[in-house]
Amino acid sequence: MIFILLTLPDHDDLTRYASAWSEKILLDTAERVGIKPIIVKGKNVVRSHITQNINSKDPKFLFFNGHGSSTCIGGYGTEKLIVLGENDSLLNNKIVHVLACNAGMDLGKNCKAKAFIGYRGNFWLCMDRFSLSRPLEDKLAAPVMISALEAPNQLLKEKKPKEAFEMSQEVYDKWIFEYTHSESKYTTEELQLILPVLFVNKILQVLYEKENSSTN
Amino acid sequence: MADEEQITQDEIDVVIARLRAIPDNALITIGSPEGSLSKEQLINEVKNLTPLGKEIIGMQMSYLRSFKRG
Repeated sequence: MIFILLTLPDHDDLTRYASAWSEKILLDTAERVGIKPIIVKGKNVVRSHITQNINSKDPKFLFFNGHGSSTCIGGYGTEKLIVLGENDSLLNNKIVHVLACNAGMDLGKNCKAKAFIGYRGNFWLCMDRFSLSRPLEDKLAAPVMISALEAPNQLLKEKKPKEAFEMSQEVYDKWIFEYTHSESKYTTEELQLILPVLFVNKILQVLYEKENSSTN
Repeated sequence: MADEEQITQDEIDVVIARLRAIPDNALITIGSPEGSLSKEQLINEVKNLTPLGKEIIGMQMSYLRSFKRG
């Protein structure tokens, strides 16, 4: 049985949105392709639970949502799940996706993951204040979340990390091109908000992988 | 994303003008301690050149410069 470990913290707007969209997109795909999810949710997104799940179940995929820094992946609140030089060996030989700010800098570059997709800067999210209680219905956040989650979604579909990364970049490009050059369901004012966010997230998304890495 | 010494008054003005044009119901977050920021809060961060304000300027200018590069 192939496992995926998915963290779903929910202590602020960014984590609630990332977790809600991850649950919707990634769990559907995992179920369809027969990958068993290990879901660590809310206040349980702490280092002890993550460590125990990785050590006991040996998941092939580690998908983190939350906050980060150049050397750290965060969990619930201020919990530090993975810290470079401390416990980054938990990522060894795993296929890792981190939807968080900055973890694609030193941590992504220096850990020994089989593949690491993340962001080498801030991960920006725009939202509609009137949709905060219904993240999946937030049309300002939708293109941002869908573009970002394309990478882990494709990894679950057995795409190689490079292909998954490129497909995510293509989805970013598709939205950016479509919204820049054609009429859309969004107003000019909304696009003034969404387009820079998509553009910057796209250029800050990074992939590091060991040579000859594949999901197989 | 942007160093203070590289930020010009023109850039600040452009970014503020762009932020004034986003919808009133918009929020932006990077998960920073400031939380999710409204349009007016974003403008204030930029005006006051706070660390987050500089990030916002960097983000907007990076997008605008992409047109220059084609």
